[in-house]
Amino acid sequence: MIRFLISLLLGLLVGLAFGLGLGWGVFPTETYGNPASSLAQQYQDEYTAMIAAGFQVDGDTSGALERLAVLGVADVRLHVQQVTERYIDASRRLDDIYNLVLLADALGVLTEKMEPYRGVIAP
Amino acid sequence: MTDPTTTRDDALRAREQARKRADKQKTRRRSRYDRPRQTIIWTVLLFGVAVGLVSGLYYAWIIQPLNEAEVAPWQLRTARDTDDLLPDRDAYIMAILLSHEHEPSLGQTVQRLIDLRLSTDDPIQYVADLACRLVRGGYVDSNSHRNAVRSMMRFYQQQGKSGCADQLILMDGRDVPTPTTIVVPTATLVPPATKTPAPQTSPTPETIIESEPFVAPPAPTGSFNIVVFEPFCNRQNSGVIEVIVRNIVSGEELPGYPVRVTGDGVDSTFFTGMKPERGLGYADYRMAAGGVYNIEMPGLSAPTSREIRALDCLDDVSGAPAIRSYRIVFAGN
Repeated sequence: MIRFLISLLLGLLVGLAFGLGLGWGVFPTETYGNPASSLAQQYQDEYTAMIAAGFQVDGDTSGALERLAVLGVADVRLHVQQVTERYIDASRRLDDIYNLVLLADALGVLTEKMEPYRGVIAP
Repeated sequence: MTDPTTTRDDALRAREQARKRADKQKTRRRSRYDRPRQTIIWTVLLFGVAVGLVSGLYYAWIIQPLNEAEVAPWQLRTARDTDDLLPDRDAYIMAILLSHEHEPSLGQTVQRLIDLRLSTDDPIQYVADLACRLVRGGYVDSNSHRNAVRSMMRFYQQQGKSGCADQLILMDGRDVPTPTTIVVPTATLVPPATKTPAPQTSPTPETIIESEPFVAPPAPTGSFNIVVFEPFCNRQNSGVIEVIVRNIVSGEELPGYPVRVTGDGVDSTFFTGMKPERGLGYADYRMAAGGVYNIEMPGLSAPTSREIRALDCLDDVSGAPAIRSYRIVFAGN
């Protein structure tokens, strides 16, 4: 009886460890219905760059702020500043940087790092 | 006396038998009772592994799924997940199309839409349907929202698609109906001469307003949605809910349709067309300061999810204090 219990317990532990490893690590569930605040940073940055591009068309600062608020960031202006500087540091597309810098300028968060891009005419 | 030969033979025989028994013992298969016992029962172990694996997966996928902090856009909330007029994934679609306005790259835009794993094979038509839903849901209540919807409309119209938003939002900004005063001349006929003098009666009113009697149309039917929900502040028209009901297809204003205002002890139903000088589909309701109201077309529309608050405001032009007013357009057929 003791051998039976030991075998069963050992098997359960090994199986449970495998199950959790597979379920959380290798094949995690793909959840739906997530808020935009849970977007991966690359997508949050991409979203911000798209809003900045739209801002070039309509010049609607409050509209841009409202659209960025969807991301659930505490300070939208600071978020724009951080994304812009990240784009500059990573040497992303000049057009995207240009759009972001102009949006940052409109929101009053222009930094020294962005200053050189103000005069750039995007290709 | 025993025979010594017999005794020796017996001893030899006994020894031989003992040797044979020993040989037989060696060649005999060891029984389970002879073998040393193992600590693990492998069949039970495998059974445990199987049960544990299933339990682990169930726990990891169903009971306690990993809280994903970094999801992709296609995993965002949709209209199925929330009552928001613009769920997060639709907001992402809007951002894609706003970006498309700045950099019209059809391939990139369509690819971005495809990456969202939309529930359709036609992402462009999906955009048309989304624009329709936003307009019908009353999303276009500000210039920002209107411009965003127009971005979507321009995109799908350029690709030869259409949606109901085309009938409700004009691309040149004329979609917001402005009240127009219609001067209806009323003919005043000279009364024919009579042989008998008219009897003197009580004093008559100095002026007689002649107007065509209002004839209610047949009982209205259909389904209506709020397509414009626009607060404004005007001292001359302070604290008023202006309602316009119009046909979703033709755009013509519809008289005789009921509009119901509820809230703060108020439950008032009135009809469009009672002020024809403001338009056949026009009706209004004056709010009490500080009141909170809801509006609907009883039996024809759902109550608006947005509260109408009669808050203090400053006149958009003069800056004088007033009570916020609202312009609400119902469209349907």
